[in-house]
Amino acid sequence: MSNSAMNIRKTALQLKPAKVNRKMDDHSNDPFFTKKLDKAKKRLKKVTIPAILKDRK
Amino acid sequence: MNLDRYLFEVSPDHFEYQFYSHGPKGRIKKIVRFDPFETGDGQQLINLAFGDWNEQTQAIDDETISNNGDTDKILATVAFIVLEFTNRFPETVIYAEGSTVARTRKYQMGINKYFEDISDLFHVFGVTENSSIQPFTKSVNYAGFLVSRKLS
Repeated sequence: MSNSAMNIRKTALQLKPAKVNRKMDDHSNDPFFTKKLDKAKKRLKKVTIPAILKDRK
Repeated sequence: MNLDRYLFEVSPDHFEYQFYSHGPKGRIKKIVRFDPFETGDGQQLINLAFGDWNEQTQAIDDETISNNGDTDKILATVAFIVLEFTNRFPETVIYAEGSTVARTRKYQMGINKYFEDISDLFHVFGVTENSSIQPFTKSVNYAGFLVSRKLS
């Protein structure tokens, strides 16, 4: 593994959890994000997902 | 990979993040969301989308070009948000595309630049204009990207 790869692995493992903001606005039903979601659904409606990305639990 | 990035906050359910861009145009709030959805064959994916909070319209948009001189720092921040999200939900598969061809290209340039680092931690696939999925190749222009953490 390269030094650079080791660095990013180390960074990822050491990444502190983000600060939780309990007062953050919830935009889950915001038209902006629902529109983005619809676009993604349309783009990936008929795709075949590679096996390596399936059953990942 | 010590990229300059902004600090970010996360909602209690860890599906929404926010941070502030700082530059000549002032302070601009950026909102990043991860939303689950299913493909036609029932595979669950997570859509990654982000935009600016527009104080004037009191709405989110991604059509304004903020010109705050910090594009690379913003992209690095979003990359670290993906790292944070996948530290918490490592089994998820994330889909992302830009709001325009130019922005998708910008994301691809970021992936190209750090591909060796990214591919150590993530499986990376490109989605073509005709919606076929293939292992990410630097020389191909994609319409979107799928990434997931390597689990072992």
